[in-house]
Amino acid sequence: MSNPADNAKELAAAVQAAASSGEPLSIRGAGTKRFCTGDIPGTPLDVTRHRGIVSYEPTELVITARAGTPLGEIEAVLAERNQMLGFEPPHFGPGATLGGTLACGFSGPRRPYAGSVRDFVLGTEIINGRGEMLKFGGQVMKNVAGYDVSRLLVGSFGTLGVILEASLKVLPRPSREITLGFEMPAARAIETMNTWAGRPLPLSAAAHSGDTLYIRLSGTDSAVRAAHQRLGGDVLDRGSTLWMELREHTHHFFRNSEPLWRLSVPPATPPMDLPGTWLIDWGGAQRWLVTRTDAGTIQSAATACGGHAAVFGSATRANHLPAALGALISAVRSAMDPDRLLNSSL
Amino acid sequence: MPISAALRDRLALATCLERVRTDPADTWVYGYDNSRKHAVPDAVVFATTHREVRDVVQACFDAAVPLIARGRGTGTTGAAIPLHGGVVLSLERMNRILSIDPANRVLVVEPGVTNQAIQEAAAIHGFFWPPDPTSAAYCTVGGNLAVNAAGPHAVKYGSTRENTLGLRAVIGTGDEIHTGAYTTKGAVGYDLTRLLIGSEGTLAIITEATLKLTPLPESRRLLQVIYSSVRDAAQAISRIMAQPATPCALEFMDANAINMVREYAPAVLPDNAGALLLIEVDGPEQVLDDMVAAIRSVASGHGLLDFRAARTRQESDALWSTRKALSPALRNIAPNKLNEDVVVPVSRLPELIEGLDRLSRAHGIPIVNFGHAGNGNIHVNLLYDSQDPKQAAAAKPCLRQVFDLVLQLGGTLSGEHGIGQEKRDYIPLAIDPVALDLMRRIKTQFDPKGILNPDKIFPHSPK
Repeated sequence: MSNPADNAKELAAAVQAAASSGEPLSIRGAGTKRFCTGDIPGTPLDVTRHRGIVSYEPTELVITARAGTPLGEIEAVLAERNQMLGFEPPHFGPGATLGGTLACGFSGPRRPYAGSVRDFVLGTEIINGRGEMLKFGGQVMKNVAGYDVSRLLVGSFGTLGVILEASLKVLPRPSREITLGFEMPAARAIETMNTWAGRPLPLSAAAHSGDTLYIRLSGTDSAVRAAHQRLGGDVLDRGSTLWMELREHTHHFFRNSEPLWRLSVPPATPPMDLPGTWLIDWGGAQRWLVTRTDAGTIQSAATACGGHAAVFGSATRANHLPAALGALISAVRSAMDPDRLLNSSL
Repeated sequence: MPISAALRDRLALATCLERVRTDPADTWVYGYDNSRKHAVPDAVVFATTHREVRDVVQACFDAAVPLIARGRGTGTTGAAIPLHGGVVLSLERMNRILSIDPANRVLVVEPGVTNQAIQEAAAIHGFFWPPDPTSAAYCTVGGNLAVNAAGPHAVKYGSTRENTLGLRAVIGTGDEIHTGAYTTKGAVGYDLTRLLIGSEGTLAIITEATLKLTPLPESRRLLQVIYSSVRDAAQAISRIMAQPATPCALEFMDANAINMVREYAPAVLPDNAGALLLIEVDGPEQVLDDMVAAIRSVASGHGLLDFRAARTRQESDALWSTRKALSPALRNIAPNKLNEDVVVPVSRLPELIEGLDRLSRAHGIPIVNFGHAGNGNIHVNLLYDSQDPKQAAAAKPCLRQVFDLVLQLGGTLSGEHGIGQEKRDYIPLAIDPVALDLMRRIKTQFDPKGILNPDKIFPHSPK
């Protein structure tokens, strides 16, 4: 476990210095998601030393931690009290930090059923592009006092501010969790996942890989037992490993030298007619495709069914936005970081 | 000040002559909301399509005239009141459900659809939309989005923000934007959906919303638990929320509220009741007994006076009637009330209620508290008579101290009603000047001329 340290003043001073010199900054955590952002030019701003859990009140279901705190440390502390991060965040490497997780906005297999990273952020403290420290939201579950800037920061890849600290809602761990396997082709799996998602079942993950549909059930003993009886299927011994491998991309599907595409589509979209190997997650809403097919074909296929597609790890820029939205997004960025000092290449 | 003939012509061109009203006899009723404040708009325009909304915004942008979006006026904070006159854009006629897609569990609606119409359309396919404000039968989804509305079931299913996938909207320049995506995950750009939700018509006019639906539970069971003190109840709430069988509602009433409904409630309430919890669990019928047992085991503890679980629909209705009796009872007791919806961490609930009792005694104003205890969202009702000079003078100072107390306890001013005009001047207590300045700058990007619902949420800039 790391030594907690409050490095906020030093970080703010560094941003202020950059604001006076006009020298751009490259915000750094543990670097586990660099595959996604590429190398960002600028003076490195290391956030990992600003670390530690500031407060954790298990009875309130709220944890507040500094951005440099390793995700693993937060998860371990929560596990001691039988609690967890509901969005099941991917680490993508050792040392992954809370700040990086929020900035990149990645969520794991539980996302369609429990919510995304954004849904769990209650409040944040940040440094804007002028080196000012700002606080948004708080530690309470509901808040409509002023604009919800905290959630705007999630998934903004550090372009709106340096995240210093965040308060997250946490969830009690389900008392029972099982994974069921059903042998079936993709088309039937998509149909099944969506039929079941439309019923009040304790689903917490649904994926299809190879010729198997995997369903995870989480909840109280009796709820899981009742749902298992209703759905049938075989209980997998290595269920938790499977979801961990899908979350971290260590599953053998991801061990491939060809380009990995991520397609985000309406979940009930039937199998798409694109060559390559598929893995379907998030109950059909997130589809991974390993293929050498050209980008145009893939993107237009995704658009045709109301979704979008990008090579995983290259999707951090807001390309192809309609003019009005693009201008607005750029203006919001200017309001937060007028001189474009923060992660300027993104 | 009446709007210019040129603007009136443009508004008529954008919609039609019949749907632009400037006669005070017509516009008067569009100047109020449930805050009971009133200001007469210079014009009321009824839009029926996205395109009309866009043209109306463009006309107001060109003329630099205030534009206030309005649903059905059920908001409690004065957010829909045209403080400086201008044009009220009524969206009540944009009341179409554009599509329902049960396979993807998505509903696309115009802003004037009522919350109840959404529930009815969703229920046909076995779904519901979780935000469930008390005004559901009458309030519109546009208003729900404007204030990030919620209700009892938010404790398990989230509020409007967690149940909306995307929006189509017109910003203050008349430009159209789409935010979010039909798919659960929108990868590109910033998350403007959640920014627009809760912004009370100050950033954009929402013309279309894509809502995420949730399967209706098979069955529900209602429990009523009574404690001798708020402190005992608060500890029980923490224990209930920390176990995995999350209730779908966890409502709270303090002793003042209990005493008010005694004569209305069919169930006998113990004389020494200090706090009452109404707890609802949902799920398949065969697991509800286990869930009730799980709640019973954590609810048992110091100060427990009574625990009862409704077994039939009739028993359940009888228990809910206690809670439902509150609103009429409140109206009978005092002609005026300040109805706040503060939020505090659950563990601070006892300090909140004790503090409110102190303020009530100090100011001579009865304060009755109830609300959504599972997420610490408490409706604080200051009851007074504006005809009683002493009470009338004490109400506002008392309210200010209520907010001071809430913030001191790590809470916030509003959980589901919004800020509007009524709480606007208290916002600087909750948000520091730098953050406030940033929010104002965000508004300027969406609304450079400041025409959209001016002077709401943020007080006048000190500069």
